[in-house]
Amino acid sequence: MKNKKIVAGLALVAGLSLPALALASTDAEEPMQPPGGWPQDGIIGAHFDRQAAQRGFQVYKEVCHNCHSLKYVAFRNLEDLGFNEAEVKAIAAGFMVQGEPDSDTGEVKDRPGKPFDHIPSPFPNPEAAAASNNGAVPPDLSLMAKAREGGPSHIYSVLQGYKTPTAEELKELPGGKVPEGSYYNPYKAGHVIAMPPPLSDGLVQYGDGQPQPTVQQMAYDVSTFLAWAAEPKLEQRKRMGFFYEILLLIVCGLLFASYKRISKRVLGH
Amino acid sequence: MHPSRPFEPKNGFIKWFDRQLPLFTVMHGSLVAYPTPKNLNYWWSFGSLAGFMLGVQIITGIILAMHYTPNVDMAFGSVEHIMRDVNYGWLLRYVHANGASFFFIVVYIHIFRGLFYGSYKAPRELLWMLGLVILILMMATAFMGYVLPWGQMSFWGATVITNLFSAIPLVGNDIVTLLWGGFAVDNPTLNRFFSLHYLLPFVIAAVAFLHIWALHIPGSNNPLGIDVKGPQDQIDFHPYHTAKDLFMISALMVIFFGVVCFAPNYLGHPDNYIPADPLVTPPHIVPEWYFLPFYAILRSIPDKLLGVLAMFSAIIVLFLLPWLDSHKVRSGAFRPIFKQFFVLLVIDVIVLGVVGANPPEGSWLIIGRLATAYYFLHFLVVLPVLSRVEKARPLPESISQAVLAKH
Amino acid sequence: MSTTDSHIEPHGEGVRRRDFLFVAAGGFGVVAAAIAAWPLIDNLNPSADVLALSSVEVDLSKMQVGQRISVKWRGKPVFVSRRTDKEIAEAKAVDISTLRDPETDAERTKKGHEQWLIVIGVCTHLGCIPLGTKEGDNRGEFGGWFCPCHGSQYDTAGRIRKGPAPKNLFLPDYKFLNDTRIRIG
Repeated sequence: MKNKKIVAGLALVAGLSLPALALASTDAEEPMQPPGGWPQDGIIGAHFDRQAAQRGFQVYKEVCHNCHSLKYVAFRNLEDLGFNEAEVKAIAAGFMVQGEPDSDTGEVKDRPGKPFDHIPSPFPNPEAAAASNNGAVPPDLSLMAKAREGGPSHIYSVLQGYKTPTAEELKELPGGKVPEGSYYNPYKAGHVIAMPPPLSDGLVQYGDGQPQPTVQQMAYDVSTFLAWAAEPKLEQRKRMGFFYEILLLIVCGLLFASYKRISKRVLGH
Repeated sequence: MHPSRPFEPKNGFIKWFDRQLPLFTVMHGSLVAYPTPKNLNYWWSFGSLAGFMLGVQIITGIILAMHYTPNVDMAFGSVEHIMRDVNYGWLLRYVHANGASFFFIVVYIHIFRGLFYGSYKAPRELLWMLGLVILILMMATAFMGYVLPWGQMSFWGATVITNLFSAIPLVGNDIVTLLWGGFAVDNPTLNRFFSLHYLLPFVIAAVAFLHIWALHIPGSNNPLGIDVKGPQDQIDFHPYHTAKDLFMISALMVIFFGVVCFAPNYLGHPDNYIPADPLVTPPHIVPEWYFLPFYAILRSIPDKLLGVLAMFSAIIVLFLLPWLDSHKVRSGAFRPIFKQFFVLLVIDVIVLGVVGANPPEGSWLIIGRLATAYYFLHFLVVLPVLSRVEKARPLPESISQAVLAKH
Repeated sequence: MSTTDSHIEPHGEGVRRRDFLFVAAGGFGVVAAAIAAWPLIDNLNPSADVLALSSVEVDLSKMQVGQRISVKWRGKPVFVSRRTDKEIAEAKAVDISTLRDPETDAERTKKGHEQWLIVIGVCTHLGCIPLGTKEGDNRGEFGGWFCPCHGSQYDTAGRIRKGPAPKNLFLPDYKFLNDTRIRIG
């Protein structure tokens, strides 16, 4: 009797752990976590570091946005990060978006963005994006923090992972060298990345009272911002999950007691 | 199984209604006064749990379909619209996506329970086979559902699985073109998959109804595997099983919402958050976890047609199980040798799952082949041989006697 | 639960506690089910992107006296009418006690902007779009709008004067940002 239970339990556990095993074969290096981890991880009190996310938006706007779109994020969503309505309006107005056809002439002109607009792509179409970037289209960043193994830690690591490969590391690459127009980055699968190192110390001017814009700080900030962009409902989800679990445990306990009581009554045990 | 007592309504309306359409009599006979063996353990609740998960999937699915757009240019964006803008859309989508996994967990446990206690044996062969039909329909539904978000895994999973049919001699390629509605997985494919993904759950519900009907003719099997001898061996479904199943549902929901709210993407694959790109295949294509054992069987055979045949045979062999295992004793609890082979089968299927998740190279290939070989040996050789040679432990006189002895 | 009363026996306490357990389990179960049901209903309400579009700004500077235009707001037309002096005079001259839905012209326009009538262009009868915005449209007997579906007729203040509609054309929530620009919603 006991054996059966153990076996079935194992089957369940194995079923749940298979996807994790499936990922063991990637050749990217295990991504780094920031010191102290991500505040949005965990069960109780999980939250986005809003100060960091706001700075991260600045990094995105001034650096990443030169090549990468963020098309599933609307300006109105930024209120979530603690920007107030007026600030969001000002941010939106700082971007030019495609306007509506003029009612008299039918001409389509760009106009300043409004809160309901989505963040516009830096390129009019994928072909233009490829043409400006050595033929490789820079991916949209809206879901980057969910579309890579390691999530925000992957972004955090790649941004800091550029280095000159050692002779040994070069040997592992196909052809024994980093291809023309590419860069060495061990946190990327295949250890080669087409994106030039985007960050350097002091690249972005942070406001008063903010930390120094080191590469590590900017990487942390923009990874936080992108983690939020990929899963804006994370905080609500975890808060509701905590509440659901408490309620469900109470219901589960009461139903178990009821079942036992009924069992005693109708079965005698 | 006849109801333990007749339905005698007091309410005038119910009396009037039931005289013209005996709906209440049928419900009373199958949910209230339906007699069940009194020794059923918790594993017997997984049928109810499966029915519950089917309900969850149908309800959340109908709602998601109200917000989703089955078009290659808009599908991915409409899923993001659900995740970001629709009120509680993220919750509904995560419940639906993880609900599929939990439906499979529950159903696989339900199947292994049947395998251990010999629930497929006479007089329940048809019941067992209807269950397998449900499994096949679930697989088709889950596969097509996974295509709908139109991510990289959706697209390439659809490409690889539909290409299985190209293994059919002579007409294979024509069949694949027919399935696609074009020369690659594209908008017509997405549209028809959406239509079928919406349809099939209702077919599942209909077959589940037949499955329950076929169950209620002989009544439930039980952990001892012996037939009920009379009312002293039985207990009414209500309130005992209603209470037990409700408790089990709530326990399942504790785990389920733990995953939905704290690790909703754990069972998924990150690549499916990359929009489908027909020009780039992801480095490792892995199906959803519930397909992995079958995927491993497919890849363990070097020949395309034979691999596909082996994969389908893995399910077809289960249809023959009632005749492959002809041992007189139903319950594995009284068959010491069978019990050990059963444990081996469980391990084998888990190993196949792990193999399916890894690239088909090196030792994984060898392990995969051995595990595939054992899977078929178990059903085609081990069980028929055991049917002849295995001597079972003595069975108890009756269920009530065994229950009394235990307490 | 009234059943407790009829069950008071030698083991009365036990029975009461048992019933309490079932009531508690049932009660919490119903609460949990209700909480689970809410997302199933609330998702049908307008989503965040729809709500974000719920205001629209209209530039009035190019409109001629006597011109009417139609603007889309929340998926419905809003009629903007720059009324002539004659139309305003007609609207003001009506004895409101004779109206089905009595409202003065002043109540239907903004003070200082009496020239502008802004109404939701949906007939209050069964939701058709009344004619009268485009030049050459049938404007009905009262010079306002005429609904082709069931013949409701509205005057130059958008008030119902004849036909089956029960109410005047509804006024959207709007304000003048300046003399030539309004925000609806």
